[in-house]
Amino acid sequence: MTDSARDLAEQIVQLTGTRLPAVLDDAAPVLERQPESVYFIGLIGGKDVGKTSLINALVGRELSRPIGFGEGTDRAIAYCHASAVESVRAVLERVSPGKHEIVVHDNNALQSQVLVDLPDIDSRYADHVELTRKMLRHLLFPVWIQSVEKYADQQPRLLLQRVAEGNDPSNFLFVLSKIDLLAEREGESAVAELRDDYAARLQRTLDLAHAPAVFCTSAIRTASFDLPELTRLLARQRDARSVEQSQSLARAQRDRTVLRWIDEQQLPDQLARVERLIAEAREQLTARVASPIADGPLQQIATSAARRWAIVEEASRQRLSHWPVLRVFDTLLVPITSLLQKNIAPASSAEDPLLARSHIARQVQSVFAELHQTHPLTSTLLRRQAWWEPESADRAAMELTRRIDASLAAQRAEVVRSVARNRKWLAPFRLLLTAGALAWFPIIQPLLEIVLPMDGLAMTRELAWQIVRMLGATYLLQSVAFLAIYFVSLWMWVRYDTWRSASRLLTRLQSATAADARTSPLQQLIDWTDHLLAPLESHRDELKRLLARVESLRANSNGATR
Amino acid sequence: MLFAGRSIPRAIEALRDTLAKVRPTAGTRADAVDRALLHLSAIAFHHARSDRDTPVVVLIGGTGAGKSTIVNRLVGQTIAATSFRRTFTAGAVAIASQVDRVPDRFADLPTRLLAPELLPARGEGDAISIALATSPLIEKVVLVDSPDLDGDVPDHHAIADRLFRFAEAVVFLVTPEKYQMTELWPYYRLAARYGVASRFVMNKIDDPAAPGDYLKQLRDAGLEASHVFEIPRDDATYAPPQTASLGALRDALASLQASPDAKRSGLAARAADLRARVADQIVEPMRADRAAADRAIAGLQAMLLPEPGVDVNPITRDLQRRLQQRSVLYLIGPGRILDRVRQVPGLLLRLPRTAWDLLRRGGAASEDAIPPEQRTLPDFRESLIAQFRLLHSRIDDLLAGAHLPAGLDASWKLPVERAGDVADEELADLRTWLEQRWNATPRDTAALKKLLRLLPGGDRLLKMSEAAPYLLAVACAAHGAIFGHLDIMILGGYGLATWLVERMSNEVASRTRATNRAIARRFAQLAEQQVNRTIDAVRNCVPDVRSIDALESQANDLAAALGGDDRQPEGAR
Repeated sequence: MTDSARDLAEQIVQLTGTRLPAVLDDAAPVLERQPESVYFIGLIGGKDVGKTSLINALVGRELSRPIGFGEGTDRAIAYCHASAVESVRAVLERVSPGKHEIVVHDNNALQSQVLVDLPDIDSRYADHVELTRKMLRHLLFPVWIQSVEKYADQQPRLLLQRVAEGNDPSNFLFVLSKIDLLAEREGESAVAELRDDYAARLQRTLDLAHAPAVFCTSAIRTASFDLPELTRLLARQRDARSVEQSQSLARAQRDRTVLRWIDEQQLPDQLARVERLIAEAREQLTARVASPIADGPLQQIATSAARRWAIVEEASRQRLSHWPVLRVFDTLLVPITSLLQKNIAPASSAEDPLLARSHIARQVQSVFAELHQTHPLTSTLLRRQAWWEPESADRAAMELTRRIDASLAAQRAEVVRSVARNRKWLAPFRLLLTAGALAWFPIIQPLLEIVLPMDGLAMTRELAWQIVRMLGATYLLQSVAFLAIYFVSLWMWVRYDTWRSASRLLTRLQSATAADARTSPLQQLIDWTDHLLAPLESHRDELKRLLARVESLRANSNGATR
Repeated sequence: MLFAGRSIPRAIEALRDTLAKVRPTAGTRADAVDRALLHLSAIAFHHARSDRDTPVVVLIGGTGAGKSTIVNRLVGQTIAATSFRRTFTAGAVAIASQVDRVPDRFADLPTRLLAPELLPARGEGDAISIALATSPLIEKVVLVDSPDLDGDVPDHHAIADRLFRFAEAVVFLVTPEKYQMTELWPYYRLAARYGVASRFVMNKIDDPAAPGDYLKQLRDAGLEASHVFEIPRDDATYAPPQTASLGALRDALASLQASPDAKRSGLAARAADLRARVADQIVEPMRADRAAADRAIAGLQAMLLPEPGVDVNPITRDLQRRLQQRSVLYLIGPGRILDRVRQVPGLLLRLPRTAWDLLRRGGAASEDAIPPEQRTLPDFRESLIAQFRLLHSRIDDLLAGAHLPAGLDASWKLPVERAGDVADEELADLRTWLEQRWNATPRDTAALKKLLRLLPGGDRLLKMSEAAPYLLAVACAAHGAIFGHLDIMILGGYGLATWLVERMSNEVASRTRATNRAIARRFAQLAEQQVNRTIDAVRNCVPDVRSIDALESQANDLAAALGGDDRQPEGAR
């Protein structure tokens, strides 16, 4: 779970460019994962507050000699069961190579508990402080000890704050040592007062709801004050479940710290800002670019007779190319059709000013320049696109005209393709209607008229007579005239049919509900808006994703606390 | 020497003025300037003190070292409030025999005399509390009790540091538990460096070895400490030797003699440290800020200003067309003929459609597809505003990348409406002109009319003017040649001349160009004004080079005047 918190924090850093929270710093005095078999209890305190004396009093034997002045304890002294020596040594080797001692006991009741005496945290000996800070990464249960003289010092307080970022205060023990000095001089009531003062300071430092319990101890008068209770507490080994619980509490605390840091990043605010920006950008782009184009030029193009004519023309030409004789006929009629096209459906002379690239570019530029001024986010999120610069805006406009042109071309190609589809199985029929008619009307039909009712010599003569007639000028003129009428009708029918189906298809393609985005200019207009806002939307999606993960992390950490 | 004596206060004042001048309103630089000002006050204070003044002795130490207790015991009265609670003393408490013995503005703080019933005093953070007492020691010195230097209340540290800077003698108070803590060590070294007489006292001794170790550590650190005064813990059996007892400390304080040499070299060291502090924490960062600001200014000066990109041609097009059609030269020129000729095929081919329209709707569609008033005009105001916003965006981006110090707000931005006003004003001008000219006679026509009126029947000639080119062409063609092969040249020359003169005499085009130029010029002026305003803002958000240089040279002057020129600065706190 903590790893997911770290991962999340790193992603947020990547997205927003802030710094990682201190609790995730690799050198922070924050609890690491523990070896499974043992847990560490360590004494953390200032110089000469009586750490060694306390630990000696706690275990009831002299682990090392307490020194009242000078450098004092400079190493970590671990007090552990014989069975745990190996894992303890592994940890100490890593934390303070060569500067540690292990004192072994054989009390089986304390098999997995390791008591550690540590150097001070506030003296001029920098290596002392360093060693203790490193060791804090392994102390599940730090015992904070300060004397009546030093309990208000700032250095232990700062360290406590750092440690509390990654460990739960309920895992801490607070000890006020050398209490006998005060008790003798000022009386027992002063002990209670000082205890409350220390507890209140701790409460402020740790930002707790209640003041924590403080054990007042004296290494000289071991039997009085709270030392017996503390000894009892530490002589009882915690079972695996309670250790596990403490660890999960520590992890939850760390997650809470990370979550607090995440809260400070104000992701929901950022998300809201991005959403507002996107909404406004979309609205502006629609109002100032997309709608005028959709209502103006695109509407005109959709209803333009010239364009329809041109499409039908191309479709008919392709369709007629599959008809054997009509193909020639159509080519011969090209001058007439083009003349008709020019006058019945004249192409609009000038390009629509709304579709002019410079106009679109200016609109895009002005939309984004305004957004840049009103939403500071625009500047960072669209740094690479910079639609407010003339060149970029021109690129955006080019993109839009390209998209619209492409969609219109696709529309045209689609209509031509589907209307002028070559139906191969109709080829014999087409052959019959054209080449067949050419053979049938002038030749076969007249000859058959003679052959069928007669036989013999008379028929032969009649046949020859007919052939002679057929090669005459009158007959040929008659046939040509008839065939011309026939083929013109056929040609007109094909063209009419093409026009009808092409128109129907075009209307369908241009409707807003067209399924294929490729052939719909309106859809292209929408896509283009998306394209301009893509960096904003991807940033928003990323924020949303992170927020969802933050929520799940928060739920998990709440669950763990409960 | 006399000269130096007079010039030092002047150097101090000059440096103080310059520091106050370059101080930004807030931020880390302001804090650095405040600290430098404090140290400067300390230098001024020490420089102004004479040997006859009662020396001020400050007790410095950590929490629970027993500063207030020792003060009381030195004076022999309970004046400073003591408690077993830590961080109890909250401000400076000065103990003097007379009020005027406490120097005015000591530690740059106001003084406040405490009434006897307010004693014992805990002190207040923002003032020096003065308590009057009579004791042999207090006749000789002013004793100042300070708050702790290492507790969990950061404000206390600041007060203690302040008092230390102004102290003429310091009593460092430690306990066996605390003498190895880090906080006091920089002050030991500073005291030695500044020639401040220091006395080292260890309080609450129970192990006789501890003061010896303290003394050894002091000497190991290279400090001149003859001995450590030893004060045992109340319940300890240990009794210090007579020469190191509290009485000895009292005597040592009473017989404090300021050495002029130590004071001089101390002042020199203070000046050298101040110079180093000013150089490292103020001058260098401000130079960096200045360089950033200069880079930003250079970037602003080199910035490409956006073009207005406005062409008012669509507004004037109608009038231009109208005036053209009212121009005689156009009517008799080749343009008219070409227009007519161009219309012929269209007319012919549109004939069926026109006929159909006539039959069905009873009227033909007009030639002009889009009537003039429906033609959509670009929004010039909006587009100028957009260009001005673009300028703002460019400046914003440039400033964001310039790493300027805080303190530059958005007040450099001129309202974008001013760009819109440029368009509105120029267009309003143009529109009134257009309205005036709408029914006017073109200049060429007016001139021609004047000429023709001199001829008999000139008015009638004018009405026939459109026929002139045809007549000329027909004449040329029918006659074969009036002037032989020159005919073509005459026709061509006639056409060219009328066309050119009509073009040139059309005042609308020139007026359009003038408006475009005026808008471009005014927009460029506005943009330049904006850039200059920004440059001024950037320039003013960082002290100018002259102030920074003055700061540096004044700090150097002060150091030189106090003889701290040749001293290596030490890393001060």
